[in-house]
Amino acid sequence: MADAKAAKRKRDLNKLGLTIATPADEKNAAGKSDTSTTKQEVKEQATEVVVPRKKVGKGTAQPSSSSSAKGQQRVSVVIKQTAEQKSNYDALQKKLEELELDDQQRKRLEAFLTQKEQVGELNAEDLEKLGELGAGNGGVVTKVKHKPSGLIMARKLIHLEIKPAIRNQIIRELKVLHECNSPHIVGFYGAFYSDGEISICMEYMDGGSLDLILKKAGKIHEKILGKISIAVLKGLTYLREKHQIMHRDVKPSNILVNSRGEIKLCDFGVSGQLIDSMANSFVGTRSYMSPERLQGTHYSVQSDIWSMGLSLVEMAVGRYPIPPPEPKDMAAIFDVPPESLDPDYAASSSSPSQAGRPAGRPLSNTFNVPHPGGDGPRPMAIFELLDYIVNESPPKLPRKIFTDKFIDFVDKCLVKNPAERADLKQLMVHPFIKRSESEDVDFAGWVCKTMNLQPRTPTHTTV
Amino acid sequence: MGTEEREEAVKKALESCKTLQSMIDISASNLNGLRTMCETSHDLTQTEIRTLEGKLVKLFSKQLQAKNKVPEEQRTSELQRYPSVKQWLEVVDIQPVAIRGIENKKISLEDLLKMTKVEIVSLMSYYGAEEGETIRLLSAVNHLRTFTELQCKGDSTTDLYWESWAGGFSGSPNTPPKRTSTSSMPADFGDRDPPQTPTLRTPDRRASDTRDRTLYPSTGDSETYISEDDEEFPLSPSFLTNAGMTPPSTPTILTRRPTPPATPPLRVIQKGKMKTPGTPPPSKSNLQLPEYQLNPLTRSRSHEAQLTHRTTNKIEDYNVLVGGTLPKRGKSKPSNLEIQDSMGGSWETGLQNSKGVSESENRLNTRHSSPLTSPVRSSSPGPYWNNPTAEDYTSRSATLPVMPPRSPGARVGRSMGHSINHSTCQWVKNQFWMTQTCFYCNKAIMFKGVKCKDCKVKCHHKCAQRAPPSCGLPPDLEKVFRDTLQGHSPDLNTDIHPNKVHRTSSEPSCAELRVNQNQTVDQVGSIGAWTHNAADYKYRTWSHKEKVRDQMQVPPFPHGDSSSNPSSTTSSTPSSPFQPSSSDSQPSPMTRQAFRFPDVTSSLSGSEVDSQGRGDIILDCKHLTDTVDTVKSEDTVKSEESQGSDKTEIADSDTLKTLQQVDSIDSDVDPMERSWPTRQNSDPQEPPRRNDWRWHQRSSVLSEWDIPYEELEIQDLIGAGRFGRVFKGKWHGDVAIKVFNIETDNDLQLASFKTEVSMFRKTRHENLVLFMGACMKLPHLAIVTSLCKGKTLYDTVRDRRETLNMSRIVNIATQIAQGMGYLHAREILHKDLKSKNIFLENGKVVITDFGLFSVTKLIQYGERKDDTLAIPPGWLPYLAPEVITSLRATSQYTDSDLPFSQASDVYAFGTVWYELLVGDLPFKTQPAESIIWQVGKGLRQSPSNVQSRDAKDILMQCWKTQPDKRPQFSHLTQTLDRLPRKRLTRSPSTPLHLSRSAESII
Repeated sequence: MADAKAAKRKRDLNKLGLTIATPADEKNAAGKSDTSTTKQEVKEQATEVVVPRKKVGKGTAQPSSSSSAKGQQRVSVVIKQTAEQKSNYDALQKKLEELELDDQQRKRLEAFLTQKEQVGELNAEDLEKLGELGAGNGGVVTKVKHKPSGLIMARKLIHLEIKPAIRNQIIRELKVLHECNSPHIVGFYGAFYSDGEISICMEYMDGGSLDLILKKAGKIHEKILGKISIAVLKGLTYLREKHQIMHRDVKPSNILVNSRGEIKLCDFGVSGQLIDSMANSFVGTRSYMSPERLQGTHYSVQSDIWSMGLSLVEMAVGRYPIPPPEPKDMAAIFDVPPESLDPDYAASSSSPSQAGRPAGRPLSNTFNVPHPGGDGPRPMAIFELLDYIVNESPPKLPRKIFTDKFIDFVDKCLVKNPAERADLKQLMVHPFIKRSESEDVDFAGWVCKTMNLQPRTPTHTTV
Repeated sequence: MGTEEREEAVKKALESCKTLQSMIDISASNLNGLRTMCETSHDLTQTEIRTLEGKLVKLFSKQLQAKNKVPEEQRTSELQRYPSVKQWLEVVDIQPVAIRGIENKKISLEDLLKMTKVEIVSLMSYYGAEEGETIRLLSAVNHLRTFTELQCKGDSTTDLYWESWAGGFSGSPNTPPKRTSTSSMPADFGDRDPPQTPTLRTPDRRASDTRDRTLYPSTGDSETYISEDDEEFPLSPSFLTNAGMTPPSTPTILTRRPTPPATPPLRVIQKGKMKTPGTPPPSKSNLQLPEYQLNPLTRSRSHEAQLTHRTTNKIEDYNVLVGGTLPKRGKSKPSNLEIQDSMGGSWETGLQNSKGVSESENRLNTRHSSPLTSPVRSSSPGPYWNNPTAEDYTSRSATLPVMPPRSPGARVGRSMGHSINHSTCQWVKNQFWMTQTCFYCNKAIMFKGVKCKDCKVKCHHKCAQRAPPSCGLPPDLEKVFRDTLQGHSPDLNTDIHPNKVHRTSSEPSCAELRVNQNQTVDQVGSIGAWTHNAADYKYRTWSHKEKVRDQMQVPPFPHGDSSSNPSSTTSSTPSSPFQPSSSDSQPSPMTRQAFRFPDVTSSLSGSEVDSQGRGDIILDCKHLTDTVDTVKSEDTVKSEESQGSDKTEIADSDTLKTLQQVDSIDSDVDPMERSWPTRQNSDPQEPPRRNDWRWHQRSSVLSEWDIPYEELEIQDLIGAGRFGRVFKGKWHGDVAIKVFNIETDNDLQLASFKTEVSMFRKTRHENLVLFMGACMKLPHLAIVTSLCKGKTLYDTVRDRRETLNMSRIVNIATQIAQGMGYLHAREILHKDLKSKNIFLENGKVVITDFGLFSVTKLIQYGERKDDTLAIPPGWLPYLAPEVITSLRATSQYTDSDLPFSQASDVYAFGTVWYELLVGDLPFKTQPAESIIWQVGKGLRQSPSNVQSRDAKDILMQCWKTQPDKRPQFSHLTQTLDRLPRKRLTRSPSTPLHLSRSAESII
């Protein structure tokens, strides 16, 4: 049984170009990690392994047990080693090392991969629906339990009436996700097709997406946004450098968080065929698409940076910033007297854009803000919104409410000309990022508090 | 031989001659009926005609024999009348001029038999007969001769027909033969009666046929004829070729060659005088004749009528019906035929008193022949075939007037009536501020009207029918014309004979005539759809009236004697076509519209006709109200089960007209149309009762289309769209069933659904999916249409194996434009024209899903969020900028939110055109938002691979940002027609080829 499973796993891993720890290597790995593993991490690791079948040492991890011992235990659960697996493990190890992960990240990643290895091939019968997580673009996301392993996953169902050939192509393309192992990318368990629907099974992020959090939180503090910025930049960098892909759809609803304080990107355009086959595309009252992309010109990862900048402004202000709120509205949002907002904001966001706008386009009243006493806002025509993005000055954050570093950071992201826009490398060394990296923020605590979750980590942790 | 004996013999001979004569009469009229009313290209018709011809030969032969039993000197003048050479010639289908000529020369049938080919040929050519006629005559005479000889030997097995459909015919056998006694009766017939050795025996029918119908060079003086005969038989084919003649038995050639008809614009008669008919160039349509096959089958006539009726195309039906109901001048004879020498341009003096009638009749006949007529005939307007002698006529005692068709181009000569119909096309006023008054009623034209392509006269739709055929009149004359016209104000309510109710005739315009001559669907389409409506409608009503008429036994219209001036009454009182908008007080277009030039005095009968004509119309309309009911019930939901004729029309015909004729009915019944401003404005005389009548029908109309959901057998799911799901299903055959996800408690939606359904039933066009009915009872809302079995255009353009050359692309685009033009003419917007809604069934374009958009109002499946707009894949590229900029992020869409228009449909067509050229959608790889912004900003994706400037021009015209700058579909059809497709298909280096092949390489 175990052999068969091992063989199957090996096959799968080979297919995916993915390797996983083997016992022998695990020893090395454990030995390596010995030095840096703290007690707390061991504890954390224990809590994180939710697989009940992991008898040895799982769930009962002792604070006193050495990390080495723990590694041994874990590894022992995993299958017997072979030379081949050793090399696979080496490859994975190399990849993980390249990511410059800290120990916590690496261990979590290893833990995830271990769990994933147990899951093997997914099929619809093994999944038990626990609840609905929300509806994303083109699909419904449900929380499911993988019955054989007991793992909780998020399953995205995409209804597609397509030919088997196309379907297989999509599944094939989605397998790239197996290789996307990064602390800033939502983990991928697998994809399969059943009953006219493509299922994509992902790591369950108990904190949900940032747009949900934003709704609960109203607006998000700059310090939290700093952590988010770091995660998003790292995630985008990972996708770009390791997989040469761009996200194409960075927005609050595609940034997921969990109670462990992790911030991960999801829903990136890995399968072109899937995008093409999607029944509908959805256009809402918000667009995070960069001006150059709207104009149909060449676009690159710089486009993701625009989207990130816009998302950050939205989260900071608490509402989609296009068209920009009137100064008085902005003042109301932050509960400050309008005079306290620097004239710069009023000048940059409100007046010029009003002037540049065609007459008779009362944007702030028709968009997002309900009419006082009216029967609700009539949504702005999509084209108007998009034209605003392309032709009006980009949104700005009000000074005196946000630090100059943050303001500068988003300003550098929200440059309409992609060539002048800061790139990933520049942003990674931006003072705002540097400052945020050094800041001690209980992100997990904030997520749990906001989303009423039981904190799984006793103390706050850095991201 | 004693005197008594002799008298006895004479009496006997006379009796048998008379008996035979009655049989000849019957056969001749049958034959003529077949010729006029059947599609002679049809095997069965041909067989039948052959049989009849053979029968006639025998009958004539018997007459001859009976006559010859009496020594020549003993023959009484009465006996001498038999056999009638005139009738013989008519049977052979010789043009009236020649018949009259021969008759006047007192050439008897016996003389004819004795003539040599050369003589006959020269005789015929003297009278300007067509080659085909001469060939036929030669063949027929030869047969008669042969048969007479053979009969003496007791061998009567030879085929004796001459295939008269091959070249048209003349003469109206229905007309009692003129009892011309030939004084110069050859005395030698009796001598020949005993076994004669025919030079030519043709057991092989075809062989003989070929030779028999050979044309000989005319050599001799036609006045002289020699008794020696047959010595020139057979003629070698090489001779024929050398002589420049085509061996006629080659059916394809045969049918085409002899047709060029003389086409006098008017028939002007002068008894006893004749003119050499001119020979205008053969009409184009002649070239489209199907080859006939010699089919030995014979059918009983009773079957025949049905069969042929079934197989004919309805255009021809139309004509027959119209023609059949035209009161025949009773004793009209071929000699009354007015043939004008279109080349010489000289005119006979006798003036038709109602030119309009003859004119329209001409056109009718020209346009198409009866259900029993072949396309050959219908398409080859000529004096011959235009003389209808339909069997039907006999039975109904109604006959067609005989008249030569007029070429559309022919213009009026001096001292004659003017009657040139306008070739109207739809015309939309694009400059509102300009005042345009209706040519007919002098009232302002609000938005749309029709315009004559030739003389630029504009008038309301309504008035177009009544507008006088004054095309080409000089202004001053036109004024007189109009004055005359107003003198005949149309509200005369004459009490008339009920029978005249049926005498509706229609007046196809020049345009229609042209269409017919060209007879290609494309060309039909290129002419404003409007043109056809009235006529088609009329036709339709006629088809129903016909039945009534059969029962009513319409007595013939009072005819003049053959000797009398035939002009007055011949011209059957034309009744007006049924015209919905002006149901009462419709003037007779023909009588009234016929313009008489001031210096021409019209005969008394003319005014009679006038008043009668008008009376006709009044009755007509009343009658038609009923008819419409009938029509409606027949062609609605149960169209499948509707009667043979109707059904066949739909099934067999590929032309626009069938569909449209039904449409015009539908539209007439349609209460929705009441609100069309153009109609109302343009029809000042609209009676109030009409509305009541229309509204009254609405509920019943809807119920007619209701299909009980239980009757549907739902099978496989074949698609899902915005509106719901589409299933394959069965309902009297394969159907497509679109099931809608409409909230069952939404009355508004249900009402809107029903409104749409009442629209759909108006759509009858070759390129539109057939709407069969709908389930209109909650909770099952569904639309049942015919099942499109072909591939979608979407798949076709993307299929690498498909080779879409420019010619094919243009053809597809033209069909789409035609279908769309039709929809727009019916005031229906598609709103969702895209390649996935266009099917190709064996090269025929079928457009589906029109108008459903507003029913469905962006009904989505799957999740919906209030602040998002679900955009189906591939939808945006078809949306016009004005629509795309109106999109809002909401699922609560109402139809009015999106400014769909005819222009937006044209934009969508532009995208389809792009797809055809490029093989994919514009903005294919771009996200929805990008498309919205770019299109909204006026950016269009250039078909970079396409270098054809013309093709790009069309694209850019359709994609104009300003909706009113985009062309109309009617215009597009013309533009497409002008595309140089040949060049592109020939040259392998065309950009199109390159792009496509490059694509396939990749």
